[in-house]
Order: sequence, then C-alpha cells, then structure tokens
Amino acid sequence: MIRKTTSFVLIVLIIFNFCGCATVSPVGDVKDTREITDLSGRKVAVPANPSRIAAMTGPSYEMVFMLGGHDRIAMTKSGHTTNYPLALLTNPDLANYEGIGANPSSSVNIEDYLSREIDLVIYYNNGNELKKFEAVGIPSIVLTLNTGPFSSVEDVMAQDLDEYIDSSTIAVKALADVLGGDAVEEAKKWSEYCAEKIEMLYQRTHHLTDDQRKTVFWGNTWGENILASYPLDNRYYEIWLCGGKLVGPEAGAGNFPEVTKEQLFDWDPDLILVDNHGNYPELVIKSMYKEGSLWETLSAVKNKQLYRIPAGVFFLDKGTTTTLMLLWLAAITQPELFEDIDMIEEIKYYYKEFYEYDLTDEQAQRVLGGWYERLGDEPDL
Amino acid sequence: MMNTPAERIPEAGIEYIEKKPSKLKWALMAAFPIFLFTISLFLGRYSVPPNQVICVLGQRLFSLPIETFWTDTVETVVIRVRLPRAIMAALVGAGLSMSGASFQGMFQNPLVSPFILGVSAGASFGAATGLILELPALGIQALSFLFGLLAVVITYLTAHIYKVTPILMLVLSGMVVSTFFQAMLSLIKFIADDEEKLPAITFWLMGSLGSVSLKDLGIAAIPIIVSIACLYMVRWKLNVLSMGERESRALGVNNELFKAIIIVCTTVISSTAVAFCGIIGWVGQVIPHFCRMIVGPDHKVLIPATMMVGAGYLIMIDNLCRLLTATEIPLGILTAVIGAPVFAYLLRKTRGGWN
Amino acid sequence: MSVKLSIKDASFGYNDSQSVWENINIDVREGECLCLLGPNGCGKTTLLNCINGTYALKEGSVFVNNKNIKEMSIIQLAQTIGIVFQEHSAPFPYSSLEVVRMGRTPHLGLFETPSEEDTRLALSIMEELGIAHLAGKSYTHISGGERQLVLIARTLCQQPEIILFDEPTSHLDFKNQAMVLRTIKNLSQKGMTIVMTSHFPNHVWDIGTRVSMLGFGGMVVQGPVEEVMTEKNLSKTYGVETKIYDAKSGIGHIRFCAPNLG
Repeated sequence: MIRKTTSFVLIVLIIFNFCGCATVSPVGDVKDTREITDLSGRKVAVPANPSRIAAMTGPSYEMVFMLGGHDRIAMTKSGHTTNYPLALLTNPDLANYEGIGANPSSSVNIEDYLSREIDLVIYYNNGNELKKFEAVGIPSIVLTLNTGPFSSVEDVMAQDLDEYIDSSTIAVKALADVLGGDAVEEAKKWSEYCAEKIEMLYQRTHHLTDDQRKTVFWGNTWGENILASYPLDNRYYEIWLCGGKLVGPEAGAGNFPEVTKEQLFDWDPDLILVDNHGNYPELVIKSMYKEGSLWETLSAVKNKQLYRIPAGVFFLDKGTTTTLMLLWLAAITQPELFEDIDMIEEIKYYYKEFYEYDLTDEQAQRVLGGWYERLGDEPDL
Repeated sequence: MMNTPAERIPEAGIEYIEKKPSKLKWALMAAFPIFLFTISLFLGRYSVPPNQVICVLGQRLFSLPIETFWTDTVETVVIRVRLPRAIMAALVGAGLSMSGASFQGMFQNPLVSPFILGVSAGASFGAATGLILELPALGIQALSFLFGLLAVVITYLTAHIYKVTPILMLVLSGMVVSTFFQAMLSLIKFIADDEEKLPAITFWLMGSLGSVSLKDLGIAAIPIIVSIACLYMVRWKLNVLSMGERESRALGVNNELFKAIIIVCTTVISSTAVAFCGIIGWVGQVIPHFCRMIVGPDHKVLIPATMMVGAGYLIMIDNLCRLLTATEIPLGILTAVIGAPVFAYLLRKTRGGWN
Repeated sequence: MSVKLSIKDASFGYNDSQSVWENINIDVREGECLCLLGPNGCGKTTLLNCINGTYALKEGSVFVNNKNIKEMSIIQLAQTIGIVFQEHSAPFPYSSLEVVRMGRTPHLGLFETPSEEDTRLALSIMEELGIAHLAGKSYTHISGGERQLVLIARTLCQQPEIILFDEPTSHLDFKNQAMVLRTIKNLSQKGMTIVMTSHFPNHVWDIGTRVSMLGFGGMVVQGPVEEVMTEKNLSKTYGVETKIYDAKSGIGHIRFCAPNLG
C-alpha cells in the first residue's frame, strides 16, 4: 500500500516538473538577429524586430516610449507603472504593464524574464547580472555611456560642443537602431531638435566669464539630504552650457558623495537644484525655507532660488528630455539672456512632437514643478 | 595586629610605591581634548576670522555684551555647525572609550569592544529599517536607539540562567544576536529596491558626525553624560571585577548588580552614539589599550584617562573628516583606517596586554 | 570557646537525584584551625564555596556566629568570611599593592574608592607578611609563592573573622610551601579561625588543630588531630595504604605519613 502511494506521488511530482519546464519556451532559436555593439562595448545579437522588450533601467521606458515603441514593451521597472502620472496619461495602458524591481546592484531572477518570453532586455551595466541573460540566450543591451570618472574639471571641459551633442544623443540613436522601423526616423528628428537647442544655448553662453556665471549646486541625490550630490560628471558641462558653474564634490570622491555643511556655506551657491532621487524633494525644499532652518542664511534660500528638477514621463534630466531640462535650467540661471524661452510652450511642443500628446498649460506647469507622485498617492490627473 | 605598622609608612613612600600618573601626565591628558575642542571651533571649510569666532562664542554662549559685527552665516557656522559637532565628538569619543574600558575590565579581556553584546548590529538594523520606511530623522534615530537596546536585552536574557548571567554566556549570546541582526540588515539591503535607499543605508553605516544639529545634541547629551558619570563613579570596582567573578563575589561585590549597571551604561552610550552618528568602530578598543600603556591598568586612573584621550581622539579624527575635502569622509572609515594599524602596533608592543 | 562556624546537616548536589556529599556536620571553634582532607573530586572545594555562600546547599545550613549565612548580604559575608584561592595570574598587570588593596572592597560603598587609610592598611599587612618589597611590582611578574602571599594579604585586608584556604600550597615549590604554611601558622597562633583544604595530610601536623576527613558521599571521620590522624583513617579516606612515621632529630620530634609504595 505504501509502495503504491510512493510511486503515485513520485509520478505526480515528475509530471509537475515537466509541466514547469513546458511553460518556459526556449529563447533565441529561429529568429532573425543582427549583431550590434551596445554603449558599454559589448557585442550583442539582437532580434531584428524585438517585440517583447523588458525596459528595466530608470530612463529606458521613456526612451522606448518616445521612439514609439511602447506597444512592444512586455515588462518594465515596477515604480514606472505607478509613480509617473504623465507616463500614465500619455499611455493609459501603462498601468497594466508587468513591473518588477530592478536597480544597478540587485540580483536578477532569470525566471521572471524567461516566463514572460522577453526577447530584449535594456539593463544596467552590471557584468554579473548581464551574464545571467547571456547564459539563457536573452539579448541584453546597455544604453548608458561609459564616460568614466572624470579626473578633473579640465577633463570635463576638454570636450567640444559636437562631442557633447554626440555623447548626449548616442543612447537614443543606439536604441532606435535596435528597434528599427519608424524609430530611426523619430531618433533623427529628435537629435536634430536637441542639436538645434544645444547650439542655441552654446551661442549665448560660451563667452561668459566665471564672474558672469551663476554658481549652481545639485543636491538631494539620495537620502533626504540636500548635501548629497553627484560625483563630477558631464553635468558640469551641461551647467556650463546653461550659463552656470557647478559647485560640488571634487573628482575621486566616490559614487555617493556628501558635502560638508560648512562647504555649502562656503560656496554659497546662487542656485540650488533639488534632485528627485532623494526622498521627498518637496519636503527638503520646504524645510530649507522654514524659519529657523539651518540654511536660512544661504543666498539661495534668501532669494528663493531652490528648484526641484522637473519630471514628466520620467525625470526631466534623464532619458530623452535632457535638452528640455537644459532649456529650463538656462532660463532660471540666466533669465536676462534667455528671456525669450517660454517653458510652458517648450514643454507642450516637445510633448506634441515626440509623445504625440496635447498637454494643457496647467499640466505643463506641473511638469515644471516636478510632477512625480510617490507610490500610494493618487495620481492627480 | 592591624594598626601599629601603618603609621610608619611615610607619605612619600606611598606615592613612590604606588606609581600613580604624574601631575604632568594628567595635565597633558586633560589639555589634549580641551585644546582640540577649542581649535575645532576655529577650523572649517568656511573660513571665519579668529576674533569673530571668539566674539560669537562670547556673545551667544556667555551673554557678554558684544555688539554683533559678523554675518548671520558666521554665527550659523560657529554655533549651529561647528559647536554641536565638536561637543558630540567629545561625548561620543569619551563615552565609547569608557565603555570599551569598562567592558574590557568586566570581560577580563583587553581586546573586547563595547559592541560585543550586539548593540551596533541591532542599532544598524533599526536605522536601516527607518531609512527603508522613509521615516523622518527623529524616527530613524529612535528606531536605531531602540533596536540597539533590544539587541542587548535579548543577549542578556538569553545569557541569564538560574539568576546569574555568566560572562561566557554573555559573549556567546552577543555573537548570536549580532549575527542575527546582521543577517536582518543584509535582508533590508537586499530589498532596498531604490537607488537612493541603498546608498543612504551604506553611508549611514559608515558613520558620520556631519548631520549632528543642536537639537540632536540636546537629546543625545543627557543619556551619554549620565552614563559616563555612572561609569566614572564605579570605576575602581572594575579592578575587583576584572579579577574574576568568583573572587569579586568573595570580596563582597554584587556581581549581577554590577554587571547590570555596566551593561546598561555602556549600552545607553553605544546606542545613543550609533543612533545619531552611525557605526564608529575601533575607538572603544584602541583608546583603552593605548591609555593602559600611559597610565597602567588601574581602572581608577584608566577610566578618567580614556575619557579625556577618547574625547580628544574623536574630535581630532572628525576634524580630518570634515576639513580634508569638500565631501564628508565617513568617520567610521577613518577610525578604522587609523585605528586598526594603531591597534595592531599596540598589540605587538604590549604583547596582547598579558604582560 | 564559642562556636564560630557551624555546618548543620548539609548536603550538596548539582541536580536533584545525585549528591556530591550529604549529612555533613562540622563545628569550628574560635581560634581553631580545621584541616579538610579528602581524595580528588570528593567535594572539598565545593564545601568551602558553600561555607562562604558562593554555592547554595541542597539541604542544611551554615551558621557563622550563630547566624544563618542565608540571612547575610554578600557584603556582610565578605566582611566576616575571607577565602584565599589558589594563586593564579590576572588579565591585567595590576601592582601587588593594588591587588592587596582590593581586599578593602567589603568596607567600601558602591561608588567609593580606597582612601589613604586603606592603602596604609594594605601596606602594613604586606609588611607583616614580609612582602612589602613587592608592593610596586606587577602581580603578574612575581613568583607563585609570592602571589599566594599577596592573595593571603588581600584576604587579611577584608578583616574577616574566619579565613578559608583552598589548597594554598598546590603548585608551589618546597620553599614557597614553607613560606605559606608559616604564614598560616602565624595567623592561627594569633587567634584567627581557619578552615583549610589540602592534598597533603602532612600539613595537618604542621598547623592543624582539628581535622575532618571527607570521602565520596560524606564525612568519613573528624575530630582532634591526635585522635583522628591514624593509619586506619588515612588509608580509608584516601583508599591507599598509608603508614605514619615518627622521627626524632636535633630540633625535635616530627610526625609524618606516607603511602606504602611497596
């Protein structure tokens, strides 16, 4: 009797095992593929027509969306399906997309990707995790350019304008190449737009001397801490383009530097940008403006020059919208030089041209205010 | 039998035989933290002329009738940035050093750290939980403090058998509890999904005095000062306790009461320090060892020595953290980078303290 | 002479089923020196620890000055009973004077530190024992015999009424054994009440006034030295045939025992 039960149980287990295998379809057999080199230098065989894309890095959803490929996304980073009201507005379907967690150091559960038959992953430049995709034959591409740590300000400023335009548009172009079809045209249109705007900025600011530039500090990049800043990177050049001068951590200060309180007093920047990556940027600003706050003697606080980085389908400083952000930044850094920039119009134009969406003035204003709802808040549409 | 020979010992004889630290040594040890504290107020990335520093302090701290001729920022920097930081460094340095020395006496081992009962593992977990839950700063500090205490309570209760808490059981329980909370901390780090929480947790764990405000100081100072005072008052009994529990009991020491007092004081100090400043390691081990070389093992002089040297030491290291570069160098990193080699050197020199 | 220390109907065990020893009844009068003999593992040290309250008896009680020690606080016990452990090292290199001075603990409050008076007392006791020259030396750097004397000095600082010695001459060489025994003998002659355990039956004739022989499970025999120290009792207690010898020499008469090695 026991023997019979044991055999029965064993057979059932074996059947279930095979059932489990059956839901996983072998990937990468008979499809057209092309070989491309991604931005980290890896050679990857991508499908000719990827149709089940996993857009896992922060900016990647927005990039695919701008290039018209949102129908081809099968999975994205979990926060993206809920936290960006404009992303939901411009693509109501987004709420139903599959979302799983992902960050630069997290561990990939390859089953998640296999079970959804992903045929292309846009992922972080984490060698160990990328190997997992390679092992099961899922093509994975990295769209972040390895500009490497800059060793000094001179190093950053050694690039000329064309080099900057190239490096800031290369990711979108590479993605368009992979997506194929209309995306290539879209990317061309987009990079022409970027080049035009960036050249305009350059024309008006490149002759400015240090004295004529406003000092800018970029804080709240992590934690709930205005002192947390970005390491020395291309932002230095971008702020220069906008007629400002970035003050921040010196080269070699690690990936998550925090400046000392006294240092911020010493710099006394004209403008302080409050990033969205730290917790509750609006609360950070509120506490800094509060009477009796430690920072009340800073010029930027006295003159109400704290600005939250705008956010739309994604944060404005990432993804395809960096140029838009630079326009905004230039208008607040050098208002006299850029009187003719009407940010509401610029945002509406961008959304119409590239997202095919008609934004109202009010919605555009909210983009400027950093329209990003944290999980749990009802998106105010 | 006990009385006659005592009078024959001359005053000078006792001094000579006792080999107490000389007045000069005491003066130097007291001058060390006072000097460092004072110059800390004059040093910083935002330069303030010395006369302004003096006048600001005079007017604001001592209510001297001085007319304000300095900017608001100068006052903010001196009173709200430098002063609380220096005071906190002194309190934490003194507290951790005294805790280390007390534990070394209690556990009869010159290598023990004040975190041996799990307080730092518990507090780290508490802080990481607070960061994940996006609590305000006060919430994170409270959670960190409470979990630090909780870890030690668990250790104590686990080690408590038949009305006594043997030293060996305490050490073993401490290891188990520490390991548990460290595993829980790893779990938190693993589920810290966002790109901003993980670096926040990591930075917190590396320790920093950068975020200390006057308000923080107001909350943290009382428990630390009271515990320091307590440890100071029972310091001589540590000599007796360090000979072993069997002997101290035979000499009339209530071991359980005494161990409880020491554990409570050191835990309050460590928990408070970790809650406001993150993990600051290597201070509680190195300073007592170093002071033993200067003043000897008698806790009557060792405890005050560790208090003074510890305070000065941490102020000194913290100055490096905030002056060398525009960015904060995490305090825990510098105390380890400086402390570990010094400790290794001291170990070699004193041959482990068992001389 | 009054009974200083009294153990009544005592038994001790680590669990409820077994006892290390039972039915122990011992009376020690003031000024007496009681030697406690017995083989390894019979529980002599345990008995000492029960007398000073470190361990709790399973049954029975210990009375000091007719007061049950259970009613005495740890400090009161330490002021009345002192115990000298076998010499050992210490984790920290305290000076010998500091170690001796620790004996003043039962007379100090929780937050008190020793005064000048306490230090003088410690030094004077060290002088009496002939070890004042070791005061400044580190306790960990002196010889085993000297350390034992330091521990005796420490116990004397407690100013106890009874002193317990736990095998004070084990681990000591010939000279140091003599030093320690001489000290204990002096103490006894000055009127201190002493209980001493020992591995060496010969010590009984050196310094004891009474002897209790402990065997496995309980008392074998006890009483005045002359009566109890017989070949029969020694052989029975230690489980090995023992012979007693008398020797006359120039300075006097000495009695000693030795096992019959065949």
